Amino acid sequence: MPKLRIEDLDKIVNEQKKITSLRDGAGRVKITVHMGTCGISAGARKIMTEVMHCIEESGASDIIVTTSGCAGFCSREPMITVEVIEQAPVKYVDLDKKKVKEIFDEHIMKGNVVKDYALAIGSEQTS
Amino acid sequence: MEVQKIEVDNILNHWKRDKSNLIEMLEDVQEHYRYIPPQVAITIAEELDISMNRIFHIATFYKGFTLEPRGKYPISVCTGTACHVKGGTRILENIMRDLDLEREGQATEDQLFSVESVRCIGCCGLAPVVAIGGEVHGKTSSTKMKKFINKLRKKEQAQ
Amino acid sequence: MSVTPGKNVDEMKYESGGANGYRMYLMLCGGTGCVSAGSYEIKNALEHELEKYNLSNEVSVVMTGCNGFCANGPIMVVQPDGIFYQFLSVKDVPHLVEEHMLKGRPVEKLMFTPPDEKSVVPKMSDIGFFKKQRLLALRNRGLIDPEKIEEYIARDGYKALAKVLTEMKPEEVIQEMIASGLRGRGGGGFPTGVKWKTCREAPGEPKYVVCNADEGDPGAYMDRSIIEGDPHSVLEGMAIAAYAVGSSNGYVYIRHEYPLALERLEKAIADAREYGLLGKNIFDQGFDFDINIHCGAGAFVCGESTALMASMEGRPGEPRAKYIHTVEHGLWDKPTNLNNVETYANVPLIVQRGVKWFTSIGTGDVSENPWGGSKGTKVFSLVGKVRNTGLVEVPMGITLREIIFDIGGGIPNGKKFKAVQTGGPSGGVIPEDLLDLPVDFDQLTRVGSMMGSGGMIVMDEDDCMVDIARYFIDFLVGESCGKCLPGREGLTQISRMLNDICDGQAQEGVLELLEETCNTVTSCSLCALGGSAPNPVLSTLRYFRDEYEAHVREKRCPAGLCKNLITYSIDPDKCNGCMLCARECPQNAIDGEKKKPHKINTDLCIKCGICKDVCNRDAVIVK
Repeated sequence: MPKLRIEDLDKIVNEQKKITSLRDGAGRVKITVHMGTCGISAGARKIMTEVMHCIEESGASDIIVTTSGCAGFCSREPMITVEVIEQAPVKYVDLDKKKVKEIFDEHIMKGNVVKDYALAIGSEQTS
Repeated sequence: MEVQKIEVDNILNHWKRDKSNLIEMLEDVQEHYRYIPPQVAITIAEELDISMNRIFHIATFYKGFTLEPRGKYPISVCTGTACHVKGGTRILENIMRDLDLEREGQATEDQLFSVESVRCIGCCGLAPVVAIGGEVHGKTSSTKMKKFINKLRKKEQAQ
Repeated sequence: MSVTPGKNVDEMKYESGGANGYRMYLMLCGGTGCVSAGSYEIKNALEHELEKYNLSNEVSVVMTGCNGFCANGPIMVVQPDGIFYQFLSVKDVPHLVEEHMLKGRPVEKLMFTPPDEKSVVPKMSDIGFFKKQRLLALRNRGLIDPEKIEEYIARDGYKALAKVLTEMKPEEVIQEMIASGLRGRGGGGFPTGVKWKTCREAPGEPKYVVCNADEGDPGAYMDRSIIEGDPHSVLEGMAIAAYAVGSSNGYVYIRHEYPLALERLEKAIADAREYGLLGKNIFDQGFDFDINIHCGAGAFVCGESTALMASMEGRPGEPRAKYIHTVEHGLWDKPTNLNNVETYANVPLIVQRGVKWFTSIGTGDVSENPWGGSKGTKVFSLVGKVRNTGLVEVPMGITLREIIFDIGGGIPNGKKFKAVQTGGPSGGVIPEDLLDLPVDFDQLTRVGSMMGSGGMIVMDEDDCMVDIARYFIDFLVGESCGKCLPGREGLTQISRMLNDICDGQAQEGVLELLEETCNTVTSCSLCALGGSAPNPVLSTLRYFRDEYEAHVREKRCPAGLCKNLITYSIDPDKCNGCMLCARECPQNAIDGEKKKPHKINTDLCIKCGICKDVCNRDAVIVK
């Protein structure tokens, strides 16, 4: 990796947008698994495995899976955020394998938010 | 003893035999042997030309070091404030009683478990918290821990 | 679609617009995502167009916080109609203003068609837990992959570093920090800029920049979360500090209990080095800076600056007298700038968004005096007996009631709030009648507690205040380094007295002796941790003296917690004879047949509480 110059920062911003933002065609759905110490001890690794398993089973190739740190709401871990293209992100809480499967089949494959497990849509105010 | 010498040498070399890295070296020793064996302390003192006093001063000052071996599954019961108000201290007493241990840091006779209280693992949102062999259990209780420990012991005995 | 959380549109209508008020508000998203997609350019274009049609007095453009819908940014909500536009670009603006703002015809092609979920799911901004939070230090929480440096850069990471290296002199950076009023988030509340200035001016080379990630306070884990979730924000903050004070060597001192944080920090440093964001000649501006990690071995006292530095030099972490400041004679006796994780994480944001923006959040006035107020936000770990536990970031000046009841959702299981403990072992408890206290550095100190690193432990009627005091003192006895007499012996005596009180063995007059001993330790200890050690006792005595007196005079624990003063029994009306407690009791102290009420044999009972834990009918009574 070459050393960055200042103008490279903007290049990375644009490249990243292509990868992480859904509208530029990298994917249709982005799933973020929140993996801080809290999340992991509440079972986030199992959730991640289940997500990967569901994707493999479905054969879908338009889903981006990524991890992130603690979402702050520790008493409701494990959590994932599901972002379908052109829709606001939805946060799901208190998950287990069964719920993940259901969310995958309903929300990710068919587009219906599983309201029983959803905490909220959107995200909080930053800076 | 020769094997030990090589292992200690590796650790010392990794930290460039620099005395200011003594804490890091001892951390590696602790991780490898599950305690600071006296013979290793002597070897380090000789190799780095420092006093045993200095090594033991550090080994007894920091909570991360023990002078007797920990169990194969060290059990850390969090007694941070959040866990304390949610009964962490009681869980500690109950696990110790179940395992027939008299003091913290002691290992069970079969060398499988040792128990100590730790001040905050940093999972306060999930209090009370117990870590067993590095695996963190949140929102736990005395009975849940008893079951888990029994399960681990059965697994070990089966092997 | 939501508008700015925490500032709703109804309020907005009345708050500005002069005598006549504005008829229309354009709520343009100013979150990082939308800003990087160009929302400021759109703001300028909008204002320009509005001016053109003479609408500036009728239509107001408001920059909001992140709507969380960054993928479709820049986005804008027009109020009061509630029309939501997305994917805006500067070239859309003239048409939009002419059609919608002037002629009142919303532009359909720029609109967002909501998916037909009929808003069964509440919006993030409507959820109490998130509504009052304002994320600065945690700005990237849950949004980026902490192990990918590119994702941090994509959210404007390292731009602040680029800015200081190319546009600012070190003295200007320091001036900016002083003017921002940023105060140390580790607990002390010392103005960051003032510390940087002293360090820059101190004679001696090389200088060191150190990040304190020891986080020894039990009940606090914000530093762990920041490092785990957004390590580069800390590295960037440290690099800016290094440029300001004239250092090229940085260290992070992190506790070994945080393996995941350590792992992510190591990766972040390696990635930053590879990109040349750490190392020699960063951004080709002739600035060198690198960071190494020191892993602590478990000692609370190492959070104290002199002890931390002793530990980094490979010695036991014993503090020294502080008449010589570490900022002048610190690590290896060289000038050392030590700040906390959360402090560093705030730095890039202040550089990027400016002093004016930062000082608009928080309390007091820091324009003349950096101690004049508390600016920005503070991250708290809201834990204990509260419904929603977790990490919350709130603007300074918010009340304890808002944090505990609006964000935390109040006390679970129908119990009554008793007190909240802040500031860790150096802090104190705050009772119910002070719940409307605005939270900032000075207010918390005034009531006998302190900000500390940000632990906020909520306690209910079942928590005994004497036990809490004993808990902290026993913690401190165990963690005392043993160097000075008040810290070593004074705390031991305090601990003895508290244990006697909890055991029902204390005599009349003990409370006066306790107070006297506490005051001696406060005034005579060597380091700040010793000096503040009696705070948990003094503050519980101040607000809950009656509980102490009940223990001493009546040999009674009002909260039903102190083992020697309580007995366990079973309520025969509630017990359905399920046998669960009898099976689990380690002493076999519970008698009873199936489907008949059980009884506890108090001679055998060791008060371990397991029966109460397992009972599904809440039939175990503790008195």
